[in-house]
Amino acid sequence: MRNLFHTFANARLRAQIVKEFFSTLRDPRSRLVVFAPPLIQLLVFAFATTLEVRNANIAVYNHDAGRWSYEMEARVGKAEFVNKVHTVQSRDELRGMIDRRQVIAALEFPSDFSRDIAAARTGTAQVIIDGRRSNAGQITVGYLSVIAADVGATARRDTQRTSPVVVRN
Amino acid sequence: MKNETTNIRSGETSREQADREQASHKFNWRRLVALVRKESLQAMRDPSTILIAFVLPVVLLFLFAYAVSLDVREVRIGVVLESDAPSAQSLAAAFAGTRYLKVTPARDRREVADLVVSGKLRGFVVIPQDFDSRLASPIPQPLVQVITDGSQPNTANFVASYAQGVVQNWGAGRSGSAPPAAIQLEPRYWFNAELESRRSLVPGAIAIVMTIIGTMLTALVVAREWERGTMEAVLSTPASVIEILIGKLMPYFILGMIATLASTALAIFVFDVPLRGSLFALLLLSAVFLIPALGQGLLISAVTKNQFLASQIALFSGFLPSFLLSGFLFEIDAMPTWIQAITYLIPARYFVSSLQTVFLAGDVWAVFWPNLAAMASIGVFFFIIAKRKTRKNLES
Repeated sequence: MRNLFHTFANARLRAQIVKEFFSTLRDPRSRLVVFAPPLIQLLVFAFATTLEVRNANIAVYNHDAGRWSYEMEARVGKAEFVNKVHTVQSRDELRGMIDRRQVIAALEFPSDFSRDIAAARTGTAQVIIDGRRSNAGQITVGYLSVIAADVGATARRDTQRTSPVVVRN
Repeated sequence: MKNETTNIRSGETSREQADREQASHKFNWRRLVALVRKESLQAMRDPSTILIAFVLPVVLLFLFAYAVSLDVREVRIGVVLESDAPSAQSLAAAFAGTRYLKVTPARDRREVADLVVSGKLRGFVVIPQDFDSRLASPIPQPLVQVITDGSQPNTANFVASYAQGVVQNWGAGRSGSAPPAAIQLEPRYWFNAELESRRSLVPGAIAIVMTIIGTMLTALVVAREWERGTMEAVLSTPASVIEILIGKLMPYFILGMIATLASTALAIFVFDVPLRGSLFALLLLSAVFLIPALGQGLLISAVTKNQFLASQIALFSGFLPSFLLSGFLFEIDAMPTWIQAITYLIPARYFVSSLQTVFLAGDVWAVFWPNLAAMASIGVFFFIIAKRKTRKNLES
């Protein structure tokens, strides 16, 4: 410790440090490079580095004419993380949208979806996710399942508890 | 140095000078080949080039493939069992039996709260003392409380929704008479059925590696030549600016392509990433990406002419944006609009998306063409400015 202190008290070293400071700060371009990027980085990258899913585009391919698939579609459209819901008319269209990265996930409702729910069976919808974005895709599935659970709870209002869990973050 | 050059020039007759000017404007293939040969030898003799071009990519790919994982596996949570009722114990057992959670049992929430604060646990579930009476009560009441570590929002979400799922499943399994869940989602992950984040990270990492070779290496090497004055020696030859620039960049273009092939081989044979598209598409994409990457490096060195500045600016404008704003780790759609606008200026954005597609999805030319066009136009833009900034005299 004493040694270290002596090293810094050393006039020669101090002079050299001062000189290096000057040589970096003397040039206006160097000055800019030392001070501007950290500020910009702080601003830009703080906003950019988010692992949340927002503004997601979802495709919906609905074979079902019943109430619950429309309910589900409407809730997905209203959800906070969704930017736009594209309605597609064929499997090829759906495939193309995922291939071209236009949507991160696609919901496909079979024709007996609402009928199954009305008959107290389980309505099964397929979610197709773009695995190139595996992380965002998994989060999207999580969000969609919450919506599905909500719609399911509406459908079975009297028989099921709406949400048996309280969450605090 | 400045004076010397002017002296030599003033020693010439006007005729000679005009001839020289004329010669320097003509594009001469022999001269170009000679320049490329000279620059290649120069690049190969420099040990740091080899280090950056071959060792760094391997190290980076290994880091990204093994150290960076976005998969949620074995999240550690605590389960606080305040009730001794058999139903509460069976719920605790349901938590312990799941695949994605690693449970630390506790009797008191204070035990686990400290562990959450210190980051050892990602959250905990409290099964309250009156669990049994809540369960039996005719009015729906919350059954359990889930506390998560909000400093990691993603994991917190996962813990919350997974805990919810466990409780729901447990409830469904317990009361056999209760109807099954009304809606079930069947997720199918295309292109990456096993959901290994490594498969989408490794193609992205190749883009980072190419940026480092293309932009950082070029910026540093050419800036070093300006610093040492060897650039002036080349400028004093009859070769034109375009010939000199192409000569300088050719070796790095070839190095970049070799590094792509090496990284691809690593990705396929070591990291088990499938190459579903064609090798031709991959090479075409890489070649076109090298235009903006090299152009940016060249521009940086031409403007700064100084290694310190060049390295800082290359890091700031090349490496970091391609790391953070390309969609490699962070979803572009989730960024605020003004940052999304910035990402359109970053060539790596187009390259990452194309690479992920060519590796995992296949040859989707509808994705490739716009990306190729964008990369090429950004590249041409960089080259035009770089050429303007590189003059054949030293007066500027």
